[in-house]
Amino acid sequence: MTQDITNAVVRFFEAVDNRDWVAAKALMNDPIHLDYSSYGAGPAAELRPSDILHGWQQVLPGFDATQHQLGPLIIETEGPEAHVRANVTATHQIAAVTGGELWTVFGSYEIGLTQTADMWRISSLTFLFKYQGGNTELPELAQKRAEA
Amino acid sequence: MKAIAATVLLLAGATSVVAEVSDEQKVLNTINNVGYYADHGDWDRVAAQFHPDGAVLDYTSYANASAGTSAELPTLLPAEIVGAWQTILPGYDRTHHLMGTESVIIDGDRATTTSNVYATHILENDGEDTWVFIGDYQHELVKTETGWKITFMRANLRAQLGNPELPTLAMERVKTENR
Repeated sequence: MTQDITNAVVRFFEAVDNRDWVAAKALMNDPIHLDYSSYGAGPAAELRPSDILHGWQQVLPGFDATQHQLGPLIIETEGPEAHVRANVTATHQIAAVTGGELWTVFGSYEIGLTQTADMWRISSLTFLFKYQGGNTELPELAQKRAEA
Repeated sequence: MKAIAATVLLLAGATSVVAEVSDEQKVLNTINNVGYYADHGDWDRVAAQFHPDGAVLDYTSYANASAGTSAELPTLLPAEIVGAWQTILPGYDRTHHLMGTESVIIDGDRATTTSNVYATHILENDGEDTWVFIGDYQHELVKTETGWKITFMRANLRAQLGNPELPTLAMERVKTENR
């Protein structure tokens, strides 16, 4: 059954969109191989969950809302390892901003999971950027709002 | 002996915990791989999702919504399918096949699926740069020695958003770049 793998991935992105950092962290392996290089975030690195979440906390709470809309998960397994691929349309909103309230990012995730004891945890997360639309000033504004 | 038997039991127990990928998931992997790999221009992997003996592609609802399914659609080899798609898809700056909810029914070595799709196509030009294909797919698959492969694929257009000229522009761009 791969439902446990699906649940881990879906709950992780739900937790991030809900800013439930405790729930997100519980679904993360330590370390995680994080690769957002396609979006210009520097080279891939092995990072601790708390460091990744700390970075996200500097930006994501500055949006009024985010929604990571994933497509169906393409799931392959190799013993205690799972490889998941999914398209994602990530919509970010700050209401009533000049220049448009939405910033939308199109791409796909390639996610590795490891089975530990009785649960699956995310051990690698690669984002493959395709395109962004809407108000591209929004992330910078969100960062300022999150600082305040 | 008891210790060995216990070990064997433990191993058997451990094996049952391993996440087996169900046939239903494998079928959905195949149909989702088509759009996923096409978006990344990985044509060998797109071709590998289709049956080596060929598949029927039905786009009649897109060409003419009232036409229905023609009984005389040709069976195309995987190389012919990706060859046809390569006359247009690489002409876009980006494509994004975001599939929605999916159903799958398996009957022995055959499977049928339905799925929603929201496919965004981007091509910068003098007009609007986005065209969205909204609709659904029906697929038929057969289980082979190398996995579930597509033998039939129907795309039903329900609505399109944005610039309807984008497919024509993408095709022209491929022609220009192949000159």
